[in-house]
Amino acid sequence: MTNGDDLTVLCVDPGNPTADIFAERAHFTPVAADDVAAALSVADDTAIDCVVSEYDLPDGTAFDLFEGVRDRSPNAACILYTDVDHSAIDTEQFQDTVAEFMPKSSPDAANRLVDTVRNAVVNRTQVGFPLPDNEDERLAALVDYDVDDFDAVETFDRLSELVASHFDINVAFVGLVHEFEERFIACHGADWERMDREDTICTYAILDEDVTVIQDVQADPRFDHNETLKQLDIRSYAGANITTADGTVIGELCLIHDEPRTYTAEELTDLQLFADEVSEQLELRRKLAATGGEER
Amino acid sequence: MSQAQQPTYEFDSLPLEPVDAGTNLLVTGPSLGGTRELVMRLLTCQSAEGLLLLTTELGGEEAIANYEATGYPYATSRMAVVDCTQGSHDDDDRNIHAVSAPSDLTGIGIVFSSLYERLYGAGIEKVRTGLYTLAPLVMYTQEIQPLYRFLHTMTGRIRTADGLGVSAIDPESQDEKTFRTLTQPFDAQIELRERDGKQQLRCRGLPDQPEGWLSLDL
Repeated sequence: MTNGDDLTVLCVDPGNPTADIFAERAHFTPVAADDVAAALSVADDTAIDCVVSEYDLPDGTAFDLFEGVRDRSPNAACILYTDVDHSAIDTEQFQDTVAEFMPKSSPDAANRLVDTVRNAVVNRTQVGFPLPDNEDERLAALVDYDVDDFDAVETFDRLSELVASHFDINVAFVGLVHEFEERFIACHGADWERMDREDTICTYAILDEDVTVIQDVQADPRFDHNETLKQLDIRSYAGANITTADGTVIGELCLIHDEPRTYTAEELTDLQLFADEVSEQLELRRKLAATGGEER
Repeated sequence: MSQAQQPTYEFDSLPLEPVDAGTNLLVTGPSLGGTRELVMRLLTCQSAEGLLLLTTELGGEEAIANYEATGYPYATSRMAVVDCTQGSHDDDDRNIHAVSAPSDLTGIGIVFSSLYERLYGAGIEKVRTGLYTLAPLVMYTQEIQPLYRFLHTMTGRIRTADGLGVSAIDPESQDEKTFRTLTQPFDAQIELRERDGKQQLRCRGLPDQPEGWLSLDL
């Protein structure tokens, strides 16, 4: 979220004061625009938490807008705020867009719109991926592992190289799964720095206690239409959980290959041992950073 | 707030304790083994409750017939159907609202939200939502991200509006990993199985429910 805890809400409703609804309330930063083009130019420069739109716009519909905003801010919540009846809304070309719908004629509509926006953003009700039950605690724990401050990149680079060599695979990486993206803190065999969370396999792997193996990504219905994975030639995947001292999963140590492949039970045990090593290195550095902070 | 003041949903014809408002249940069981009947029983409404039935495999009229087979009446003043099957059409007299196809997640979501708002506008505070079944949505949606957006949006609305959600899927219709990740947006599971010619259900993830497998007649 931008502006500290404020939610940035893009309001597109020509001639109507939808943005004013949010201007009157604390913790919202409304931005008004009159058409799709103007709204998208705002979204080019500003991270959008939520877009609230009338259905008919001068240069398209709300769905053109929602698609464009999500191209720029993939996790933006989209809310159709209109008096157009649902039977008059054409979703034929936008079957996968998915948005919340709030009629302007609903009782107490303005207040409920505000609640809907807040709920959609805070409770992540429009994200395109599954969430762990302890997501809030997980994200809170992740804050303590700000690896940029750890001066540990070389350690994890070395470990990734060792892992890639041990398993004879194309790419090995250490990735931390943040709220909306995965950040690769070390990556051997490719130059990946980040990916949208909804596109990563690690998003699914963190839900599982055991090592996750996807022998053939193209044969898994969860990923067979994922263009990002195809482009990166991610054909097989094995990932072991990286956990905090209290067992919270914050990321994965992963093996990627450009062909389908399997792993023996011994190899998977090794992978988990390597992941445990990463977890321990992170924990040591977190403690070191905490102590250093006190000394300063 | 004491337990007694919390709104709950009761199940007259099932061996289950009431569940808290805002709960989303996923019923898992074989398609031909009574899952539909169990879903309809979980959806049977008390006199002041509303019902939204999202049907993806059976036409709207057939879905209503299945609901009424529980012995409870379908009342258009507080109940509506979203017919997501191919070739469906609106029926104002029966309060059936058509969406072009189960692949149209945007359309299903918007009609669902719109009808939920109508019930809210009519002063109906407790609403049960049924989705029977998830399988066609999974089958016709190519990318998985829109499906999660849809499920989070639907379960999120039910959670904040103090509703009750009852969705169903046959675990055998999916590969095991897909099935497991599909359970994530739901608060709890109700499993249905058949043993020695008798049906049994088990709750997972719900507080204050009987433990283990419980017999029931569907």
